[in-house]
Amino acid sequence: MIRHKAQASKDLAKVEKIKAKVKSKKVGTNKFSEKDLIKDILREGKTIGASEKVVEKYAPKVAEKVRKWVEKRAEVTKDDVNRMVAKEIEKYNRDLAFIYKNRGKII
Amino acid sequence: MGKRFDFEYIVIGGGVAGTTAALRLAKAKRKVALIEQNKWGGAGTTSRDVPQKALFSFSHLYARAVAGNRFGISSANLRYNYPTITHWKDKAVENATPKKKDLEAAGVTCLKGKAHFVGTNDVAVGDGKISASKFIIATGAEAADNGISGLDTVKYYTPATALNIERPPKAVLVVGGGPSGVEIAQYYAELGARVVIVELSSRLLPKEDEEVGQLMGQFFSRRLGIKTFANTRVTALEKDKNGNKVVFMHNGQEKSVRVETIVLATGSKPALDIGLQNARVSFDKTGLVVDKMLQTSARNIYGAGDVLGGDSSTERAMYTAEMAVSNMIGRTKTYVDFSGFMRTVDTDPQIATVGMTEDELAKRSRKYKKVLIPLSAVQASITSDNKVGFLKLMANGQGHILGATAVCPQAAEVLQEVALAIRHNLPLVQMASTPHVAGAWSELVHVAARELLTKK
Repeated sequence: MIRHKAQASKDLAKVEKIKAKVKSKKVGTNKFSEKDLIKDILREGKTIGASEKVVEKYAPKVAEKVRKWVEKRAEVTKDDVNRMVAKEIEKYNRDLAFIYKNRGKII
Repeated sequence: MGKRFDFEYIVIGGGVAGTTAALRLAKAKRKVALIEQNKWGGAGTTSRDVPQKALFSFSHLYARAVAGNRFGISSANLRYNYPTITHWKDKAVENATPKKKDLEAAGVTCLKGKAHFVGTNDVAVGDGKISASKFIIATGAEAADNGISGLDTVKYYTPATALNIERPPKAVLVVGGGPSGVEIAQYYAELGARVVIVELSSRLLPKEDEEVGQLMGQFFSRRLGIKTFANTRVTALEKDKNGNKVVFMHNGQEKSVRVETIVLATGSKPALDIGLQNARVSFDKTGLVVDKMLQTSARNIYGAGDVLGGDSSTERAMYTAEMAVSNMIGRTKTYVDFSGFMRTVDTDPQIATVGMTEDELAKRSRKYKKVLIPLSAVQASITSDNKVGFLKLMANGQGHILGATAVCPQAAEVLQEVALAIRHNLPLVQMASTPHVAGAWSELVHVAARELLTKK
């Protein structure tokens, strides 16, 4: 009986440790920056020859939507952000969306 | 030595499927965590099945009482107190919803937050990350994209929020004539509202056979004054100084109407935005891609519940959760078998379908024979004065049942024996030769089975 109680309190301590870990700050990650994303979109827009003035209009909208999506999650990967950007940018420029969809891939 | 994980199993989604899976794993002495971003119990318990059934049982009762003068019931002074009814609904939800403390007492570690896969064994949740050897994805479904503009300018309800109103509205437009749409439409109409249903396809309840949609459309129109616009697409919602305006295309012409309350019942889609690509889990727009044992493309991840796509029901969610767990921890693996699962619509009369519909049989060019028995063929219709409805039964040439649809009071109970027959391949002759209580609605099945047996 005493052994079971000791084991149960050890298990409880482990669970509390894990819960504390979930609440702890992220290590080894970068904070998402909406400004950096806007700059990135403008840069990629230039590489494919899209009109700078046009890209400047929708880049902030796309970045805001991505920021709101990221904020709901504890952590996301770079690929997640690229996919989300591609999904939002597709409404404005399919070629630019293709760039973000295939980032990091050898085409 | 293998990698150490925080948990053996993580279940993502605290709805019916998720809680069933987590409790089953905990009972099998596995170290399991359950992650939920909203309310424990999920939409099925907190905003769909339980509150809907609670409120619909009131509205159907009230409507029948109001129409009770043919039995000598005087309903001139019949009233209802809406706060009391919503309190009753809230109590039902509270009693049906699993409590976090009960889950934890059963050995499940409960974590609140939005889960997001960041690797094949890692999930980000809350402010951190946890890991597990295996996962069950039970994230359920969310509202489908409907292509209607102006959603951010106009206040509207969904089937989940439409029952949280403070007082019944006077005029309602329901967008979508599927099961959720017709249920909500009838509810509001029974409380005295003027209701219009707008549906994209050519009839209400397009997934059911044609007779069902036609019958319900006529019934709604004659008894409850509900107007239906089929072949109609809502394109925009607008708000101006005069109120809410709904713009729609009907027979190629653009029209608009002003309404007090709008309910968007345009369907749902599986909730898949949880970083599945990071875990190498395949999915498509219909849902998670799983094999017959509910295993995804990632060997350590299984799926359960509405996230799999297909018909949505509490019993189906529980079944898939049980099967997923059994296949994950058991020595032998079993294929899922969805035969015998019913689809129901909680209108009055209720609608239930089991097996294949006639449309589905025709599409697959399968040979079948059918009978359609009107409610008036059984004693229960005479004694209760319920005349609206029918039972349709279909079987193949070898006398095995292929499908059935019932539109009648307690349709789900009536079709339960048909579900048994379909699942266990019982021949029609056994159903026809089993005594059924005269005066019960199940007599419909007996009459249909006997007639179908003699039909060539």
